[in-house]
Amino acid sequence: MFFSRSQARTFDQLVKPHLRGLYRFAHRLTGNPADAEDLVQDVMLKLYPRTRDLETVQDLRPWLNRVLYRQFVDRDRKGKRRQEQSVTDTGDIENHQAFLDRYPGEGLGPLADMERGRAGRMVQEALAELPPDQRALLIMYDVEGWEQQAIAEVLEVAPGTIKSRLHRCRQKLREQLARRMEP
Amino acid sequence: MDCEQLIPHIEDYCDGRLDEADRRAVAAHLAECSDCARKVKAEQRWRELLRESPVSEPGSGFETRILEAVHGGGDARRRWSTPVAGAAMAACLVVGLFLGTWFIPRGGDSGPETVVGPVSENNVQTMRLAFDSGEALENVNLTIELPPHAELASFPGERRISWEVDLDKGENLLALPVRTLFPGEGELVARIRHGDRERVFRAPVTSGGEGG
Repeated sequence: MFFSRSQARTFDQLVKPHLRGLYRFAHRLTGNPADAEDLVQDVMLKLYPRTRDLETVQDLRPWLNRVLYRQFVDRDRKGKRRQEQSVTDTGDIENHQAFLDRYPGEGLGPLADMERGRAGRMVQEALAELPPDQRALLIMYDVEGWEQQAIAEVLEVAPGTIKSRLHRCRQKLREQLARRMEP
Repeated sequence: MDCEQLIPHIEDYCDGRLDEADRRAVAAHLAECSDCARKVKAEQRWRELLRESPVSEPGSGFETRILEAVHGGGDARRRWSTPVAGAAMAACLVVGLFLGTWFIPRGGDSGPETVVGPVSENNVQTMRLAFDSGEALENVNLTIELPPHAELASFPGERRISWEVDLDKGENLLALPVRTLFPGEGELVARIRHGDRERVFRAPVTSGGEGG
């Protein structure tokens, strides 16, 4: 993009401390190093013309994570050309409590003492089957251990809704796992 | 607490988010019910396995690679390198004395240009322009317009983008990753405006698979 050298320096100083963290997040999301680096680079190309915006952001880390997450979801959807139920769709309130009470983990018992390597592969495959936004939420919370507030900032949703969204994503993962447990 | 009552508490129990009374009740039930204990163990196990999923550190030179690609001065990523039409950036930019001078960096109009493109399905070429300003300028408006068969790679679907920049005295560089969506010909139009002064520059955009 088009910048004076001083602006380019400003951009580098702003983003460089966060690049490795973004890469790790991207790697979790995409599942492989090459796609992770592509994703980080796409984000940087997108942000370069917005250096002035970056300078005004108080806490860049969650802001950058949010941009990377949006880029990941958009790219994935565009690439696969599929319509998916968004993690932001939690359904109506009446169905919501019934949804929370449902636990499709009945068939997961064998996972408790399955050989580690096999169980690990099964979990990774199940995760990869989830829509990108659901996969991202599980990664942010269950893998990276982010606070719900930070996740809410990335997803741009109310913090109070994270728990129900997380519940939905975990349900989906359990369903994927249970399907793999079937003989 | 019985098995039915336990189910809504499994997640919070594994998350460590139950209050003390509920946590004790769940623990007491689990001590007596092997079926529920197995469910909870399975729940804890998939979470543990998920956390253990491997993630590598980026290769050496990662930061440099990323930033140079952004600035248009570095090598394209391994997966992005393909030959491209040398005529992609022909020397048809108007040279002017208005704010300064646009020119094509050395080699830009003669040899094959570096092409960047995220996967083989799309052709992306980096179009490099340079602007030599006689003075440092702030709040310069730059608008890029692309023909129907092209888009800015980092802004899918966008064929027109405008933003404010500051110019250093001397050389300022512009590296635009442009994706050609289908075969065709057209022009990239760059409009640079400062106050009430404006200059317009044009360069042809051809599809990456054409020419050579």
